[in-house]
Amino acid sequence: MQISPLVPILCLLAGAFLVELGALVRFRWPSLIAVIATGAATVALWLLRPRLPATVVVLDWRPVTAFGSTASLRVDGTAWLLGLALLLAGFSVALVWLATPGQEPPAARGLTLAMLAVGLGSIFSANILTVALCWGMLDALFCLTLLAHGGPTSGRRAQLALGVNGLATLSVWVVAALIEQDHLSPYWHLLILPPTARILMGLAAALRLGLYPLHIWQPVELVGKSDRSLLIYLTPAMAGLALWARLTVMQGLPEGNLWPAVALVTALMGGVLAWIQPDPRESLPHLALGCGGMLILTAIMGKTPAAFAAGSASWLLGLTALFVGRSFARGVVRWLWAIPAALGVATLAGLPLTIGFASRAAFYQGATSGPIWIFIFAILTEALLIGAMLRRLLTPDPTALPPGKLAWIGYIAALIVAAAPVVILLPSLAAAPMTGLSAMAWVGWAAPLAGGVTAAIMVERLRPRLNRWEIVAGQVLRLDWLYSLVLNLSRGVARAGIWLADVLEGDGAFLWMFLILALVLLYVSGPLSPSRGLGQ
Amino acid sequence: MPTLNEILARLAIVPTTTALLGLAITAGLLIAVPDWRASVLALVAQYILAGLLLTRVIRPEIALIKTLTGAMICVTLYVTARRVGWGRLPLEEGEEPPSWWLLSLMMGVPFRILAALMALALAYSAALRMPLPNVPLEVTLGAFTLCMMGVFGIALAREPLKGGIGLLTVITGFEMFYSSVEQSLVVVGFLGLVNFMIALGIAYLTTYQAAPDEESSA
Amino acid sequence: MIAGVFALIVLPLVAAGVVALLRPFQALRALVAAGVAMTLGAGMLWLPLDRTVQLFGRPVALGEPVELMGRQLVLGGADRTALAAIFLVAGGLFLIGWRARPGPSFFSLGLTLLSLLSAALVVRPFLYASLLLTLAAALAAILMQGQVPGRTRGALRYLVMMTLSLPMFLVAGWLVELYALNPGDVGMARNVMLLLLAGFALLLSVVPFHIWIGPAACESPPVAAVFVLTVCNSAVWFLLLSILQEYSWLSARQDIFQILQLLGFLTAGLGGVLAFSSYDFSPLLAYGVLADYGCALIALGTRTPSGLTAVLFAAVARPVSLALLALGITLARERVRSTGFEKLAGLAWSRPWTAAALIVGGFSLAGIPPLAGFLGRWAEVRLMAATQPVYALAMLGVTLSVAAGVLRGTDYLLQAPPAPTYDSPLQEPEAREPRLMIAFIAVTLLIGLMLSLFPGLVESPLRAIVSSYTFLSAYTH
Repeated sequence: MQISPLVPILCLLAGAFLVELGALVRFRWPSLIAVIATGAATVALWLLRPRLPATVVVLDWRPVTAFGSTASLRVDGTAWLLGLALLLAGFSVALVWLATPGQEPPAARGLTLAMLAVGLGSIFSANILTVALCWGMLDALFCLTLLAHGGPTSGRRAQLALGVNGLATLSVWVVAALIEQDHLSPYWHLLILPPTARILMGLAAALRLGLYPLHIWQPVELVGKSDRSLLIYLTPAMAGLALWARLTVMQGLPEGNLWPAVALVTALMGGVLAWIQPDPRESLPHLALGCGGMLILTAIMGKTPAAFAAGSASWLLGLTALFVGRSFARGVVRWLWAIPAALGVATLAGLPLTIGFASRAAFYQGATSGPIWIFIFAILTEALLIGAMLRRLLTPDPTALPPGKLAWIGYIAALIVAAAPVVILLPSLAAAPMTGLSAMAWVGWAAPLAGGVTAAIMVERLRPRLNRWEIVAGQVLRLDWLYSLVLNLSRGVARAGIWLADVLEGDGAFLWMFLILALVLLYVSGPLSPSRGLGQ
Repeated sequence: MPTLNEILARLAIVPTTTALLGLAITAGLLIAVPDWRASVLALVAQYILAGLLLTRVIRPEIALIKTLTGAMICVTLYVTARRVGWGRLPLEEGEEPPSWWLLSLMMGVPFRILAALMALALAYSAALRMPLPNVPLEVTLGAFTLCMMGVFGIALAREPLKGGIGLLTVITGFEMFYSSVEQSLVVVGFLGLVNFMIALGIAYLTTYQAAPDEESSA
Repeated sequence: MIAGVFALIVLPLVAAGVVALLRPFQALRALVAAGVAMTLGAGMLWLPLDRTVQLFGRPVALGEPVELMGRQLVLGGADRTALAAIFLVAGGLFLIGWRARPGPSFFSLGLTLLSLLSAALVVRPFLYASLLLTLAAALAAILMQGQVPGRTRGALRYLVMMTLSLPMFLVAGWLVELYALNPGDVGMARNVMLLLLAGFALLLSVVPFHIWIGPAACESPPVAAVFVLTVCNSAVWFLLLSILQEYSWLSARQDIFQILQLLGFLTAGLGGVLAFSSYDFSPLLAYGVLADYGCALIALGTRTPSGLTAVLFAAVARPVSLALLALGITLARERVRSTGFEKLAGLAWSRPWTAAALIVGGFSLAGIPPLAGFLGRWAEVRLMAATQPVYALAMLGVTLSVAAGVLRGTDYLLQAPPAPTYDSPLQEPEAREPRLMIAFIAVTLLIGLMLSLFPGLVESPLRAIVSSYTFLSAYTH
């Protein structure tokens, strides 16, 4: 049976519509709709696998002479893997909603599904224009989802997200214009990016992913309910990773030393913030940031598109398993519940037999031939990240399991959907097996694991000092103060514009107008002989 | 009863220079004097003098139509201005009006007089440098004078009435030239209609400019 | 047999009279006005131009030329699509005016304006068009003022600008007749060009003649301001195109298009700067539309079918964006008597539809994807990127500036609402947003979304317009 790439997206959109409709008529089981929609979408995407690459024109933008290209989707191997990971994460979260109903407004769930659909669309985009369209829709849906969750800071966060992510969309748009300028094809599989366009694409991905210091739009205030707000953190970032994957595939990554530094700083900041977080259950945004930074570094240093794609899938599913799952607790049965989270940590830490192994190994293999400072700082950073993950895994979870047999079944299904693919299914589909790792690469691979264990143990001993520093460092590192400074600067610029408007349009508007006219006439009347007059 | 031609023949003894001077004075009054009564009266005189000048270049009947249109416009503006109380002085409520000298300073009369003189000088210079085709020099002078004065009047106006009068002055000045090149009755009619509609628009705006604000009167 | 041209001019006038008599019945007035406008608009699109059809037992010939007092009234292919668009947009605005408080005379004056604008687009030669446009401007000034006490600055400036354009067109019309007798007179051709450029600069409100737009947006009833900014402005654009089409020696001059581009650049630049600096949605509307006009002029200046296509797409999207903003501004003024950002702090939580209209309308006007305004803006940017990258960069900068202004407003709208004080309007019982206005906002949002996702819906009529202007060079991008 031939499946169109549009089918998974339509399943999600239909689910979103029905959930919103259900909210209006107070339907009791909106989560069931979400589960069916995400499940159907996952199955549809799985069925698409045999006929890759698959293309479909979504919006026939005519005339082509005006718009240059249509909005179309193209699913190749990389896009398929990333899309599948996203859908599995979405399916898992939907099952958690089903297991723990009533924890959040139904409207937010519908919007999350729609955001998932658009995120999938951006992963599957066949050309730059489609990316710009999808990202624009993603921005809007992300903000609406934030607002639907509510909270005292949701408005400010939504506005920041609109601003920063809007800049990402605009960057993509500028690249599309540059492509037009050079009369190049906008389709990914035919595209050759000029150097300026590469930088702008890198900037777009950085903004979308939230690389430090552009991370300010991430809603850290939703950390209290990570298992349900996962998709809010991960979907936009996945769109940024997908773009980076495209650039890796077409060898269009931006050049220069800035990008490795930015990626490393991002990873380090994420690692530090996650590690010093007092409550490890609230470390999702920092871990997402840190691991995302390491992934970008992988793409730059490893230069292996397949490894990067595998790493992205690992990042998504690993974080999902870690934060949907439960931490270790005493008791035979209770530690079984921690296995999915442990698998999440395993894949994020890049242990063998997990999908994350390929990307970590590729990174260290590439890092051995790069600058030494990257190698060393990467080890330190990963140690902090792994330490934070282990803290999350090992700190007992005080919350109770979902009540009721059906809720248990739903929750177990959620855990299996998130964790199983990282060891059972995807490693065989994703990356080519890594052979021939050098000794230094193995050292680099292993050292953070040891360092992470050490960091997890040391953190509690250093807790009193860390508590003092966390307040200060957290505030400084989050850079809210910097953005306030930038906003104040923009207000200053705006005041100049207000002054200009007052001058040009105030009481003396006509005087200014006639003065400008007179100057123009004097200029024009130079070539115009004054003695000729009109009509003579 | 004297015929139109006889009336015009009698009026023709008014020298062109006098008519031009009169135009300059009336247009200057429109800029310099903020008082609405004086402005409307000056406008009436302006239309009459413009009509007189126009008889040098177009048929007297058409010049008369234009003058009558101008008169109707002035009646409209007069009624409107009277209805809204001739505008407001820049004084606080209950404040006693100061001496006329101080009041004229407050309303910027010296500056306006200077502006009027500058406009006159510019008009004179422009008329000499860019004489208009198909019309004698005095009509060129008249046209430029009215246009320039009208432009200054618009620029210095603070109320719709004064701004509208400035606009009508510009149109009158333009028509002094244009009437000589386009004598189609349809166009003449249209221009008259346009002038009248502008006056209606000005009257409407003046009425609502003076209307009390709902919030302040509540 | 009824000539279609007559129907275009007379029917709106008759309807204006009927609507004036229905003064106490707001809903009926709106429906009659909208019905007449939309029917005429639909008729323009569907009735054939080249043959007679029977309508209600009477033969109607849409394309039949009419001679009136020696002047020709002719409805051409491009004119009819233009008029269809104008009537349909006006119909939509009349419908919105049902609830959006556009002023007591909005419907009757609006219909009269439609009649005058139709006459202006079909009359030959163009000097009569300029006379009719000036008549229309006087009425538009009254419409814009909307009987709001004490607020006349925008209306007065508009009247002055439009009237000052009249001498330019009249003299240009005279010189065109002389040029026909002396086609070798290069100086005369240049004078005609300069006069027409000056006239259109005034009518199109390019810098520095834009000074009425800001005050009009701040003072006028929003729907009335949008009516002038879309319906009246569109008529001027089509007049410009028809003059360029009629006088090939004029459109053959390259400098006219270069000057248009330069004016567009200045206009867009100033609009962007002022929009960025705005702390109020009403001036944001004004400067956003100014920037949009500027970008359209730049695209037109390429003198290509692609450029005109981009301009037309922008012209189709503009009423949608402005209508949304107008709805939002109307509701904001009803609620807090202001559209300043500070006064609107936290409004999104109590009035989500108002906030949605303001935010989506603003971003659509800026040209952000995937909203309606993105269509035209992307087509313009794409075109200029291939030929004149500096202008493309300017357009992107303008987009960013307007979007930044809207973003600032969004920040205020999404703030946590202030705690109610004794005198605060929030102390009053929270009234819900009117359902009819919500319906209008929802429908307008839907129209915008349909337009942005399926631009092919309007592709056919736009292609018909573009193909009828042969002065555009054959080079396409």
